[in-house]
Amino acid sequence: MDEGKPDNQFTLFATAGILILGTLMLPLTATMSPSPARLGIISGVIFLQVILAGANFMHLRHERRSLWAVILPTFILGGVLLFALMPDTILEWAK
Amino acid sequence: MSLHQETPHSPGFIRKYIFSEDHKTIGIQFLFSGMIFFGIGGLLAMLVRLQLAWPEGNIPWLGQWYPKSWGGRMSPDFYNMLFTMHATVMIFFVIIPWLTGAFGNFLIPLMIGARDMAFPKLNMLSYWAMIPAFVIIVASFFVEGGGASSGWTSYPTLADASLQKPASAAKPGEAYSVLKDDAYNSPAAPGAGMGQIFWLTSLLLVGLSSMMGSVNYITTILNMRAPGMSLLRMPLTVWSLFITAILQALALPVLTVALILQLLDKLIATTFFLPPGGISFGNWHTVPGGGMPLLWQHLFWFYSHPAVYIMILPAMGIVSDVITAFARKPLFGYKPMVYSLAAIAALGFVVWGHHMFQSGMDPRLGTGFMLATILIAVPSAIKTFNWLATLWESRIRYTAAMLNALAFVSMFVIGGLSGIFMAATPVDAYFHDTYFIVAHIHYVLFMSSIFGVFAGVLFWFPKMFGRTMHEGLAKVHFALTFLFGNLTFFPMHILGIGGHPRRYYDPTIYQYLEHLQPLNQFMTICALVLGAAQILFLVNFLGSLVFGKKAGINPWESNTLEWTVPSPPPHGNFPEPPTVERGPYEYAVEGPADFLPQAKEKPPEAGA
Amino acid sequence: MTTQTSENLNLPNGKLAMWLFLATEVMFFTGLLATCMLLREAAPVPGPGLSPWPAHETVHVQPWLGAINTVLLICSSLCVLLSHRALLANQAGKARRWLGLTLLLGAAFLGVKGFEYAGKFQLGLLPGKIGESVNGLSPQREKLLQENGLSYVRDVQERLRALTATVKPEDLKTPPKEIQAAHALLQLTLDGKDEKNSYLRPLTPGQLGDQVNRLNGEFPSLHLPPAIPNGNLWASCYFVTTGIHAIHVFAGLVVLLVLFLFSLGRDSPRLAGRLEVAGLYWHFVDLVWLILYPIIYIL
Repeated sequence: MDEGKPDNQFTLFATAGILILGTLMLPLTATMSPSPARLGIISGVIFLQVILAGANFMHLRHERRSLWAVILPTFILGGVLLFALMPDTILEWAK
Repeated sequence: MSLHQETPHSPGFIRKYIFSEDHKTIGIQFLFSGMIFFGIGGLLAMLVRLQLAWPEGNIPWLGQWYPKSWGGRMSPDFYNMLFTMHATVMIFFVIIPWLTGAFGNFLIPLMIGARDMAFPKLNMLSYWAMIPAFVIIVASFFVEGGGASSGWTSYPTLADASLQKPASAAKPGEAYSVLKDDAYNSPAAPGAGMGQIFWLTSLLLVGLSSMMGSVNYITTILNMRAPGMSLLRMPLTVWSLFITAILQALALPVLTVALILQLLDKLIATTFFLPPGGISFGNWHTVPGGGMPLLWQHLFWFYSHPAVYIMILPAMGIVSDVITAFARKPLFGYKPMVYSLAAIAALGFVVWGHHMFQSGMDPRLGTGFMLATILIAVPSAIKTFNWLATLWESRIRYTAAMLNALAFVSMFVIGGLSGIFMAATPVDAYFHDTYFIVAHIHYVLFMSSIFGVFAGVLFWFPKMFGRTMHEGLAKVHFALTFLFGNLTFFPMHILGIGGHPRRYYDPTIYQYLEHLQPLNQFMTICALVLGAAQILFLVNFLGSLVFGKKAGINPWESNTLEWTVPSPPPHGNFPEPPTVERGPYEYAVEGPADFLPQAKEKPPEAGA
Repeated sequence: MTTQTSENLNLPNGKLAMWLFLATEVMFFTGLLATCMLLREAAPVPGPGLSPWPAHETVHVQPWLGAINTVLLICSSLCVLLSHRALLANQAGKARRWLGLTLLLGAAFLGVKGFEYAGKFQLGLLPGKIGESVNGLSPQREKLLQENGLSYVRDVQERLRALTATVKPEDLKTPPKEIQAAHALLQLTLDGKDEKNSYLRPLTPGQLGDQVNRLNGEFPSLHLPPAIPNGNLWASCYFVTTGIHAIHVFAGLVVLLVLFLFSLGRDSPRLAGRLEVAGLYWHFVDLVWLILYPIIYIL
């Protein structure tokens, strides 16, 4: 698309979003004891931040149409690696 | 090389042949360095075979060269180093550089009608990252303790443990530091010390080279195709190299992680691959805080299983092109061939667990890996049947290149079928780590991939050097390789069923293996002849560089774009960008010639 | 047969290659972070009621330092973006200033990282250097650990000797409580005799670790080297993940510095394209930090 056109509003929104989410994570998680809910919050914040950073800084907001073929398989494969290592190695120790 | 017509581009000798940015020269550099390492790896294999046939050491002539300290026979540590380095050299320094480095570099721009790679400088770097890797892997033979000897898979804890000196030998306060002069010499095995560190470093550099190469190939194929060269008009060689590059780009980083972690385990006493509590070895002890030895296997095979396909897919592509050119018939089922390549690659990523059935893996997970592995038989069978259908009722020209390609197809069937045995968990429980797997890997990697390489070299030699290789000599070499290759590797199946374990230094100490010893000796004699037969190819190759018959632009009457430019092609390949009109396999057509080249006919005055 | 144009990605070579390189980097960091998360999940529980992973206080991890670094990196990413936009708008001077600010922010990130590392080095929180009380070992294995492996026992003894050396024997009647305790512990690490004059085995490293942790809790002023269960594994993961990320930051800084020097010289028309490609890498390093930060500093 016409990524030459600066989109200052979105940039401001995304940067502020990442920063606020990052700083909010500190008091929020410091007050919580480890629990699935805490893990969920942290994962959710990471996910949001990564989406915002990708869309804003890496221009994926404009270029995702031409780049999905590079990005999607990589993330699927990364998920395979992450997921498939889990049960076996954990069971190995938990026996 | 110097015979091609003068072009404005005329760099000096160093820029042209050593630090070349021309994809053709880089490809040929990969080809030559691969040949040197093929020789080294082959000699290592010969020594392995000698030890297996005559473990008592009564080896005529060679025995007198053994060091006195070995006591007249090969030392077990040396034997461990031999099979480790044989596999390492052949996989990482011969087959992968030949298939992706040599053919990938030389063929991709020529076959898609590009002037060069997308990034010529990066391309040059990808070869020059290999040079330190070559130096380090060769140097590793000579470090204290000898080269790596934990198997090419380098499983922890044997390969990983960096064990410290006993406290009595260290100054107070130092006992825990591994950063000491002699601390790298692991007592777990002599080769697990400095040799292993060299091995890891060398492979890291190979990985760097492959990463640069694969990024370059993908970009070139996606962005630099000539007008009209749509993806589904690309020759299968390019398709296979494209898919191989994707495999490399996505699988290799995981190996890099594993190599870095193991290197750090050895150098700065991290504990990624050590069990909790550490391990003791005699008077030595590792750092107590531990990680997970099994993790290495997961990371290693997450790369190394796709690597198996990196080592076979380009050969499949090459063979498809060679077979159609000499069968004079369109390839049967072009699209299924492309899709089956992609399917093999995609499935290749989810089957790494089949190397680990005996590692204490959860059986439920093992079943999943088994099913995924057996699924790969489907696209493989599609490919094989399509090759056979291409040959059906064709007028085959039995050139040496064609014979090698046909050998690929038949030997791939044997290798594939023995693979199904290994994929099934109940059968694998019996065959695991026996000579059956050695037979399988050699049928796939030697009898298939190397035949594919021979076919490719014979086929594109005229384009690389402007001369043809001697047909008669090549056919003799083919016959000897085919015959003695089978005589060497087929009995390994029988050995494996007999329970002969792989990597054993002296099988004769087990009574149940004694009756197999004559077979071992027979295989060794065949292997020696097989090794000697390769000299024929070398003689043919080097001799043809100088004395070979001059080749024209299109000696094989083939369709693809590289056969429209002079042999060897000038710098920049194509005087003007070709326009592609049709797919690559238009053979057996009506007309003056039985083939229709991909490129649009040039105006008459420019024609050859 | 599809046409030529619909199959092209409409991306310049440089940008496509950078994205492909980033794809390999995604796999690299997935492998690395997955490894560390797995090792953490699977770390054996050191004892009843104990956490298998060292707490932040034990290993001196300060979440606020990580938070500062997050802010630094995000701001530097923003600067690269603004610099690129200024270049596209033909404002070379503005672009140069934003790029310079990026370099400063990136260097500040590395500075904070260096400060953190310096603290770890000072405290001896390094892989292979942390004392661990390994439970469930056979006496033979404990003996090996004591004799050959752990300098931990020796380190603790040295510290205890230093503590008690300042106190003269005649003052031993009324020394501070913590010195008394230290003296008592030192005796327990040596061959001893009990009341009935029979041999008393010195403490194994495991037992010593428990004692040291108890004393540290009671008298924080003693500063005995703590025994941290799975501490070496923690240190391995911490240094490798943050270290490899820091190397990536450093590489990005070198690239950006080269581009900055370019921008000082002439207004190359290719600079905008190059900055965009280098920026992609820089943003990716930033993105990795967004994932790494919670894993190391929050979880």
